[in-house]
Amino acid sequence: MNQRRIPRVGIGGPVGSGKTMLIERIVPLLSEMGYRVAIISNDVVSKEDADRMRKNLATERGLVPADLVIGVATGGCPHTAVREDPSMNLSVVEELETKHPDLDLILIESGGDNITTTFSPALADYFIYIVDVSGGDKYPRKRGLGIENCDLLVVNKIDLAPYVGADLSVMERDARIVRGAKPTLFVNARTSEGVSAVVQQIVKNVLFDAKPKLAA
Amino acid sequence: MIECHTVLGNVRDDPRLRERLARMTEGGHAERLALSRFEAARTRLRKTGERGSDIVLDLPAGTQLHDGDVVWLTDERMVVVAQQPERVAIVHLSEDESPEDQVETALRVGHALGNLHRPIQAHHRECTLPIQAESELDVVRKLIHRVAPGARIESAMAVFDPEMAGEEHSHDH
Repeated sequence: MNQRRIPRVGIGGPVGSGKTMLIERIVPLLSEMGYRVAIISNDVVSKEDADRMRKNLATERGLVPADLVIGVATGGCPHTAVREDPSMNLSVVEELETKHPDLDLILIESGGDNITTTFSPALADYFIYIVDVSGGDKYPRKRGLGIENCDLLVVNKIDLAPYVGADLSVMERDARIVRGAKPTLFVNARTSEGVSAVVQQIVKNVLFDAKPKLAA
Repeated sequence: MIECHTVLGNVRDDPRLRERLARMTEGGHAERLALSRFEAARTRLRKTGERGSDIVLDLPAGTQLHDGDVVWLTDERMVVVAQQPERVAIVHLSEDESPEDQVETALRVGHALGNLHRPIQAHHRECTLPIQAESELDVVRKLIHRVAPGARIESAMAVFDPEMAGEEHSHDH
């Protein structure tokens, strides 16, 4: 048993697909349930996403302590920092595990990357890949490691589907062909539509339906 | 919920476990846990077994699961990992060269495949690597035939068990 190890979810997807906003919607729901969450956000050169989440989730809403939203500037290709050599991220994870053993979950956001992004199993226990409909409904059937192998595929910005001629039923059908029994969820992160289903997947498959550590 | 915290052994290496599996399969007490290669590299996972059990894996950091690993064993139930076969390319190196040339060819093939940043599985004269689609076989063929014209390349569906050399799979302090 790994008492010290804090479960980790990796979130990857192309630039602008909604990784940061999905986290901004997930965290309030988890914290409402009593779970304590830390966020590590990878970006190529800036720490813009981490700063935005810290402002939104910590400073303005007080849902997460400000020091538990951590930005990592990776340089180079974003996927290398979460797959080939995750040591930078692992050292942040280990520091969190030492300093904040009562955390229930760590969310790790990858820098925006292409469809072959995956997370090293040494870094993430569960991998959410997010795409948005504005790239067209061809996305799921084009496959790629991220779409095929992620534990949960999230299709975001479903409200835009009619404007870009994307057929959600085509995306759902193709996802089932490519991903078999693994789940695909459709959301609009901006309005939080569908986000609670994402949280349910995390609570069941990553937290194993355990009570929050501080409540147990 | 069945909570598994350790690997008890593998039915391929351990004749006693193998015999136990045969007996428990007969009695309807054995349950296969189908995992993809990516899932087999995980230490924390929740999945439904083939007989419908809710199975949770919470294994020591750095554990790599293999096909045939036993993760749960009581008189009533045995849970065995069944890694799912996937599409692979198999490169067979030719024997029709002098020993020195064979080594040279093998080094060149190793370098070419290394450039793909893929995991490999080496066995005797064969090197296996995962591919995502049949269409990728042509790419592998072109790449290999440039450095090893005598190599034979085919695709197959197989359980792929990657070599661990040089890869960081745990970070246990």
